[in-house]
Amino acid sequence: MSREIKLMLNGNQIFVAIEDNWTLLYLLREKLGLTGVKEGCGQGECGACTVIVDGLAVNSCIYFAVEVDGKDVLTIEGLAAADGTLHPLQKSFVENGGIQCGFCTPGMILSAKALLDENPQATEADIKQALAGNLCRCTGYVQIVESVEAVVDKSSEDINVVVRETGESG
Amino acid sequence: MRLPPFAYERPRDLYEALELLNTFGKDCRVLAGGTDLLVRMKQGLATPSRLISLKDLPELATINESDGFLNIGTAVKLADILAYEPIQYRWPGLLEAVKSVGAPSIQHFSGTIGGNLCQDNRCQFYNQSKFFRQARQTCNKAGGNTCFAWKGGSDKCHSICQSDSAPILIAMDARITIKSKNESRTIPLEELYSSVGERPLTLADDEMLTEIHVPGPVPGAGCAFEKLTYRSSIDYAVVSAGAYVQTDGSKTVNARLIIGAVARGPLAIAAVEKTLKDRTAGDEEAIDQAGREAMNAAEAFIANNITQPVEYRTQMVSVITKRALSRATKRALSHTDVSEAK
Repeated sequence: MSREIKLMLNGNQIFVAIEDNWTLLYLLREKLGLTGVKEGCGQGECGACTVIVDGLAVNSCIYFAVEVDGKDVLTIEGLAAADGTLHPLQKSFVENGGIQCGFCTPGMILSAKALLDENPQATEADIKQALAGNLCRCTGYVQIVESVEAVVDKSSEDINVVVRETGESG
Repeated sequence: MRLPPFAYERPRDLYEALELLNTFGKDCRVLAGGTDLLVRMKQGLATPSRLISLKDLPELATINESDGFLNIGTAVKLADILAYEPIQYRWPGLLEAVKSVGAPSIQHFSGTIGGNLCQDNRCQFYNQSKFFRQARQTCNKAGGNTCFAWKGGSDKCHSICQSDSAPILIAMDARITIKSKNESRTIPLEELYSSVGERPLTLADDEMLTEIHVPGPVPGAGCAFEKLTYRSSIDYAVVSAGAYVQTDGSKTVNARLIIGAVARGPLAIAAVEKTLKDRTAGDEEAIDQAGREAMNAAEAFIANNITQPVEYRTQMVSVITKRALSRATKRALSHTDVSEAK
């Protein structure tokens, strides 16, 4: 069945017609062209499709598009500022070698962002726990955890850079 | 992977949900989170024409305590159970089990307690894409008549129950409420499992699990959950065990052990209670013996249904049993007075 939903996507309110059997991943990647949302396993195991919905990191491949109605969605495309200035987490991943092939990176960064938004003083254990649902086959994770830790070590003012206008959901 | 077409129903109250379930029966499925169902639909293993979502039913998403029971609604997200503070010191075994499911990204939204208990059985020859499955005959679980997991074949399905919360909840003597349009019944959780691989749950087509009731801790009792996995997250158990031990301060007076991920349903090891009863609590020899007994009992059920070898899993039943029993006993001995425990 086709129906119309309303959501905040990367700070913009959008209305979009969807089918019941679309996943959020399909809507974002195939219909809205946000190719930063990756499909890895399609089964909720690898975390490449991670996006932030209402502040929580979720796997968009096992999330129905219809369930995002009225919610606030953030993908990797919405993280950098409009002028291209990278978010501190993105900058840190680049500077600390947290990226190799890059396929897991959007999911890693968004999982890390959801964690730091909730707990800006996250410990190494917190970071490992928050990234437990994201697989990386290149780096061995060490540089990824270091990239997130580097952001934690910076002043909290730096972390909470508001890079987008968050509108009201619902 | 795309999902096949289906209709998505979003009932506004439980009555409406049960009414839909009554009308559409086996053509529809209840959707709590979707971690299990959605993936099986993508693989063509489940083909409901209609999904009944529980996401708009706040009455199924509450946790409360009453009459000495912890009552958890079926649609409560795993993350909400972890965030419920009393669980940390009153039901630590349940905490261990829930924490071991998936990863935070799953616990937040798509992982629910009801879904974890009602997930379908799994097998490495069944939970695969259509393409993979087409290369072989159809197995018992998919409607055919052979089993690739059982050496020499079998006329029964030898898939395993991979729920992590079931072993510990059964060990803790949890009860569940099941509702249909015209009926409501409360039964022990172990009766939810049929031990039939093709149809692992005893729920009728118009029934739905609505609530789980976990007894509160008793002084002198402790529980623990142990799970062996290759990875520390997003992994199904190689072997899991839920243990409940009750002591009088020095001797074991009651013990229950449930092994998960080895049989068609959670496997209760009755011999363990006899072995531990009236023995000194924490006696290593008794726990060793219990481990061997669990291994011997489980051996007859273990099929080649996950990637790890049957022999290894059999040996590990003993190890995981001992770890779970030791930790449960330790907790039992340190929690002689629950009101002071924190």
